[in-house]
Amino acid sequence: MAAKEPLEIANFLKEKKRKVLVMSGQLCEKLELDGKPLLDYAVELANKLDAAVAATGNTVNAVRGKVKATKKMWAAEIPIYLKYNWKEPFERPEVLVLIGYTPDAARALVTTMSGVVETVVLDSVEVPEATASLNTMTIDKWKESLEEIIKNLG
Amino acid sequence: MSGKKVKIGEVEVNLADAVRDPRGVEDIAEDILQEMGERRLRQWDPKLNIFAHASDIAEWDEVLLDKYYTIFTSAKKSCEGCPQGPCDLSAKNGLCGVGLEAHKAREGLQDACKALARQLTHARDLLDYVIKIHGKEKEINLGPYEEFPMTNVAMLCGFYPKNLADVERALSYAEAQLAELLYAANDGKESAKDLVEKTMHAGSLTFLAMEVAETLRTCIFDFYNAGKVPPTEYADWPKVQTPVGLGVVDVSKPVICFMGNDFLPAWHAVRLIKERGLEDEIEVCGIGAAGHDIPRFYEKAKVVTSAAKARLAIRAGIPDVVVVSELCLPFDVVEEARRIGAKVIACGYKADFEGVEDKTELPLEELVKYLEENDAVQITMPEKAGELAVEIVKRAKEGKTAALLSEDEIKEKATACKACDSCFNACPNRLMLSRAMKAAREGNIKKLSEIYDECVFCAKCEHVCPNGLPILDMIIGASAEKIKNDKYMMRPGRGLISHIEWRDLTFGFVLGGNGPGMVFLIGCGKYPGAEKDIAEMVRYLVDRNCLVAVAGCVAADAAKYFDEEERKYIFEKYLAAGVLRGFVNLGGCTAISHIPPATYKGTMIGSGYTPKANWSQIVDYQYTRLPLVVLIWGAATEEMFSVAMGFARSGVSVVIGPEGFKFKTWLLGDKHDRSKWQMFDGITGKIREVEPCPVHMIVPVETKEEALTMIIKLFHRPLALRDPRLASLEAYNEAHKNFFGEYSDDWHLYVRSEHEIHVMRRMEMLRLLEKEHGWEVEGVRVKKARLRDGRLVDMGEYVENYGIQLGRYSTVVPRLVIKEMVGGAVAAPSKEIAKMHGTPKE
Repeated sequence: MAAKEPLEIANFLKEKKRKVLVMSGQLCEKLELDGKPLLDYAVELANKLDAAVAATGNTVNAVRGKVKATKKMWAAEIPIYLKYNWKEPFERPEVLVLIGYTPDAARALVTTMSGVVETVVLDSVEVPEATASLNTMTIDKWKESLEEIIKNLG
Repeated sequence: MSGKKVKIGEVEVNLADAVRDPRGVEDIAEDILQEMGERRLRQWDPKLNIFAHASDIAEWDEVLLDKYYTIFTSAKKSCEGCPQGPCDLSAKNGLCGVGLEAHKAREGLQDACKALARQLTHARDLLDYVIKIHGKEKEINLGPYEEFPMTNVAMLCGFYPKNLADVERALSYAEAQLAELLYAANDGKESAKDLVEKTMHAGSLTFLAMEVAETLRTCIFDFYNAGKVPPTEYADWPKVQTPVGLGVVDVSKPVICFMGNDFLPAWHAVRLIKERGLEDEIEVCGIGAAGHDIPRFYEKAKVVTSAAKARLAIRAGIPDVVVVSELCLPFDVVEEARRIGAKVIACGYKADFEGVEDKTELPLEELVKYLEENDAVQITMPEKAGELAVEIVKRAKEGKTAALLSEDEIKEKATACKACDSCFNACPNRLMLSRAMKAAREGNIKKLSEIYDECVFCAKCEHVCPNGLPILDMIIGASAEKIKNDKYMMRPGRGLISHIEWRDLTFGFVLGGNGPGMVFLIGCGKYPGAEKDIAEMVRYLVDRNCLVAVAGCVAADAAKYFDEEERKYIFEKYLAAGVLRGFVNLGGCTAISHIPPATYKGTMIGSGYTPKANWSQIVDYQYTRLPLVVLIWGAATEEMFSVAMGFARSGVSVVIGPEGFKFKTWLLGDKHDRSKWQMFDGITGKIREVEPCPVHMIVPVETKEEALTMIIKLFHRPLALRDPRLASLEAYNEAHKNFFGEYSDDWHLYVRSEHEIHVMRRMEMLRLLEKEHGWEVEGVRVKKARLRDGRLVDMGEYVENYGIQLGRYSTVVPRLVIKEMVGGAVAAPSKEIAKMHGTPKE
């Protein structure tokens, strides 16, 4: 099972922070957790991890200038580049942190990357195919979990 | 195998060399070879896929699957496909030898087979019905403006059906193929690659099945059909006359709502309504496939919504009688109708709902009585189902109990929500229902009404709610005004795109012109805000000189736009003809079958090849030259998966909306891998490096902005001529910059000279070529360009080493490199094409 507590996830990511890439999906712009956009959590995570952001969907416009590096990417292309031909501008990641994808999309994406890269899904729905994901939880608990991860990243 | 030898001019062809097994199909093979003519036969060795098995098209499929990676998305790691299982495939092969990849490929094939079965059974039911009435000699005639009826059949079987007996021969072939594919889907020991080829074959056969059903609709039941209408009328034909939306139905009248693939009950009901003069007394409307079929033969028909939102239409209390046949997105229609007291007539052998009894044998008077006392009945004969609907609808109206929840009722029910967020986590679109419930508890139902715009009414939230809240009813109740105002107009489907339109289009975005490409939009709006997104995408593309054609439920979603300034609905805003800036509605789901033939017409006109069991020849041409893309926006049904695989095999790239992440298979290219982007010079056979295009064959995207940008990127084709190249590159640069605030990292790969960069952007792009890509630029001229291997070379050398010289015959299929120069690089047109266009002088 992939489900892990927020502290475990934070510790797991801290160990690999130099090769982490955050993937932000379409829901980052759409969802707000009690007034705070999910995108802000993605930005805070990236900054705490000193990670670049592979901005999929339309998120690049909102992320640009707020993190150390970002680029418009296409979610479905990332698995093939990881598997066959990773190119700059980002260092090839050891871990991908996915945030803002529907559970179906997250499940498909981590499945296609299985065995190629470790994956962490920070949604409110458990994704068993990922290396680690949060448990299925309420919106309030999800917000707390994201805050706890960010707090424990440093 | 030694076979019959045929002499075509000076060339002798052994049929056994041209066809895997010519026995029983010699006449078809000989006919095709005669048409190809001596010159072409001297240029290439013919390979004909008459009554094709999947492996007969392996030549092309392998080209495709070598170029594109097959990405499997299924997470399953064990197989339970036989009594020996389950086998854990994560570490080693199963007991039967199947590996994990092949098992995942099998899952895709199973999905495609389900879709094929659904379409084949529909086509078979309809064909049997028509043969009973008209006999097998009934002629197939799509009218004077369609010279090549049933091209999907011709591509797989090698002949154009002339009568119903021919159609039956083609359909029987497809049914036998389904059996073969099902065997592979369950017991096959093939490689993953072979299974993907079979999945694509299922896609091609799905088009054939749809084509049979669609052809019968137009030939026998007189649906709107562009083949019978002079092209001078296409600009505004058929008229924008069909009301669309939940608010267009006059619920003060008795309402019959038809759903599902089978239009026959509606056809008979309409016949009776007309005979009895009841057109103004009974509302006839459709949901999903039926919704798009009925307006093609009854001008007073109304389209309520797409199949994906059928539940919404019923919960909103619209129908008094629901007549339902097989559904592409199954749901418990009997239970839903019961909630509002509507009656259900399940029509056909496949509309077999639990607890609903087949009473076909009862006389009409007794059927009426039975349905007065019961919620639902199954009737297998369409005439009877249609008649019963007309007979019962007035009485059914009197017994109906539908009423939307009031504001007070919604607020009261919201108090039962414990904010467990089970609904949020089950919702495919992550709608924050508990927040809306909280607001409702506090007296504000506006948030529930906001959710209405994003909800796809799948009812997963209700299914998981531990407190049994009628969440959809609450959303619908809070949105009464929106439902009332949901009123638009659309143009009914017109069937095929004619040859004459393609002649024009060929000059619009193949041989020259300034159209970036042609987009076929299909799907069924099962996506939050789909209606708004689809209309916006149509406008964006048409405004950029594309031709957009819609087929299936998506047409009703696209209709939901009204231009306040021009006071026009979207279908009134644009030309209805197959021209640049045209917006065409082809029809319901079976009209999807017009799309591959529309693309083959481009090949026929551009190349002179007649599509007849010559898959590689036809598809090689369109894959490398024609800027055609399909967009599937909405539910990731088996049908959509199957047709996506079929389109890819036809050389047409497919962009799939957010639900597409659930497709079992994607076909993605790697633009960075130069070894994948090569072609053969058709004259010398020399391998040449070309641009990475089309870069993907099946690719999911997350947003409409991604969809538009990807569509435009996929217009690029290696053999496109200069003006279309300029149009598609400019559209790509514009979209990427506008939507994502930056240019893409690959646009420079599509530049062969400064003339291919739009003058409005040329200076900026030339500076970027210089600064970011190391090209040498002088004023407004490229002096030296950088090849992908890093060398900086002058333009002559660049063009010599990258891309194909404009107009140079080239191919991705080794067999199609010409053996012998005969009167020019490209063969003479076939007899049929020559008849239409004349033979050019050499």
